[in-house]
Amino acid sequence: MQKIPSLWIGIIGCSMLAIFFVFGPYLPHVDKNVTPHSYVVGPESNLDFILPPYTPNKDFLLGSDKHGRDIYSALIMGTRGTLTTVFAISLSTFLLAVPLGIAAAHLTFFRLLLQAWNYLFSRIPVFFYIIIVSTIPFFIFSPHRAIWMVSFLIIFELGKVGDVVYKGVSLIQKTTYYEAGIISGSKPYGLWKRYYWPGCYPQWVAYFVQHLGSMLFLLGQLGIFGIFISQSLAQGEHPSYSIDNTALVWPMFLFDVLIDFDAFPWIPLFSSLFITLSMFSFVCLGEGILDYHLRKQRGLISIRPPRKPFLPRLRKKVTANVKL
Amino acid sequence: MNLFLRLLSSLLLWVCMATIVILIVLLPRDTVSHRVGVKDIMSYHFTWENYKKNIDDYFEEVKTKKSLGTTNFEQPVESELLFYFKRSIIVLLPAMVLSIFFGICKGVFDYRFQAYKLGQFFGRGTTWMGQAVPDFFLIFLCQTFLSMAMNHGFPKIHMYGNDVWYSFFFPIIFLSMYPAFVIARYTFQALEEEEEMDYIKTAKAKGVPERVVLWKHILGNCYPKLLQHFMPIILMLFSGMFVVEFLTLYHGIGWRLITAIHIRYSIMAGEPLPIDAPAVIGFSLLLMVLLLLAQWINQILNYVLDPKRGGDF
Repeated sequence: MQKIPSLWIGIIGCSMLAIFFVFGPYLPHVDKNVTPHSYVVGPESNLDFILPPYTPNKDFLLGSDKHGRDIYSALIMGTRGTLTTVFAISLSTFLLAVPLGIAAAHLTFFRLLLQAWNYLFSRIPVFFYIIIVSTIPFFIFSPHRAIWMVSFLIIFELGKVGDVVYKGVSLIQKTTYYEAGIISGSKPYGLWKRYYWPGCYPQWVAYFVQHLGSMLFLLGQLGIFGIFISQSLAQGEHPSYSIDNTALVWPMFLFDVLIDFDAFPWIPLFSSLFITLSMFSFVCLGEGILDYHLRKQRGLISIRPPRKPFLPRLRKKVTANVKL
Repeated sequence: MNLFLRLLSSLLLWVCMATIVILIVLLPRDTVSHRVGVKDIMSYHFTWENYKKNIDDYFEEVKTKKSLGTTNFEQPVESELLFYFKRSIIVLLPAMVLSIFFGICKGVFDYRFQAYKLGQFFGRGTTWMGQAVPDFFLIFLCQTFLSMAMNHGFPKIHMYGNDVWYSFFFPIIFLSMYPAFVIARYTFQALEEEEEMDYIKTAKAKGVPERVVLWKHILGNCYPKLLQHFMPIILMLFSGMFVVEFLTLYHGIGWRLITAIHIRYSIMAGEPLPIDAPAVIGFSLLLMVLLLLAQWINQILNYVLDPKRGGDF
């Protein structure tokens, strides 16, 4: 395990994210409510107003956005919203895709279903589909927009993930040791436990972690165009209603980037840096898990023999765990 | 299944997809609102008559004018398609070639120097890093550094728009980076899988130089494996195209499609939310035609490169 740097980088990065997720509000300098500041009194006198956005300074570590919200606090507090969304999408995709992929490897009907699904939704960028769908007025007004958007993402991703699962399972079905398992009379449960699971789960776990990264990427791309998972209508000074992003998520600072970028580059830069770093830890963790299992399969990582009991037992003899 | 049947089946599925997209685009976009207290309650107003009317109108226009319709700029869609297609293709094709070339070279580099510590860092380490950098971050970073450099005496160059002769240069670089690193990873994986095969050992035992074994024997057998990832890479390029064209203000297909879709940031109560339907249909179809072509190329290459021709896919 010491020799796999990617695993370490991934674990460290993901545990940082976990810390932000759990202890975010209690970290130093974090403004729990991400309050917008309409002005800040300057050093000269009480009449010295400074209007947002603020450049990175002592009070606003990473600067603030146009509403005077501290970007550092918003990013840390946004970890919950962002990671929950990304997790929800990836987890439900996998919960649907794994049974579908396995069924496709065994039954013709499901294989055809998976192929058709894949042809329909995986031959055109998901990004394009989402943009077309999200601008239909029904989904703009729907109070359950977040649920709709997440379900669309799941539908569009399902074929791709299912295909990976299917390929992994059918690769095992082609091996000779699998045939030997059938000939020696393994029941489906035994086949599943001893043949599919050990071969497949590192691949699935790694793919899941990387899928998280790619979903984050997609959400970032959509954020640039002002398309968010959860939006609401709010009336300001104008008679028209503005469509606002309601959830505190990282991509929200990418919106309006063409206007921001020239004058306040820190707004998009820091939020995309956050996205990049978390994508990096996801990618590294995925690679690391794969690498670890590859080494384990090749016997480069020794499986520790069970420790001798402290007090000698009378009857039971300790035998080494032999893994198939 | 022979090649022709495969091509035909992907054409059929393509027609299905195109129909679905056209039907989605032609959905009526009327809204209704009523006032409760000081708030307008807005909702989507869907009627089958309107939908039918939209579809009938569109196809009527297509039939009578023998064109895909006129856009909001009073231009026939075809002329706009040709105009923007020319602009985008000089970005897309070089980006594809560059990312494949650079990606395979990087993959081989990673593989070749994986035994050394420094090689591992500059090889696989940078590949992980590259895969984790979304295209928009790369664009922000480059633009920030270049503008800072230009403030300090670096010669002024145009990073945005499409007015100067070299304006396609930045989009090509931005677009090709992310796919290149992904290809590098796939290449590395394929090389590693191939490494333990018997024919490699035979070649080495016969005294073929290491370099020739790597470039000719191993890599040659990796191409069919890499080809499996051809379509995902193309998809990556296309979805990257939207972002890159938008952020570099390069007016190509992606930019035009986004403007035609009219993403709303504010709405009036009760107003319909129209989109430039003929333009959206035209440009989506163009995108899909390009993707179909890529699919066909993929299938043909698969057929040609497959050593066991006629195996199931």
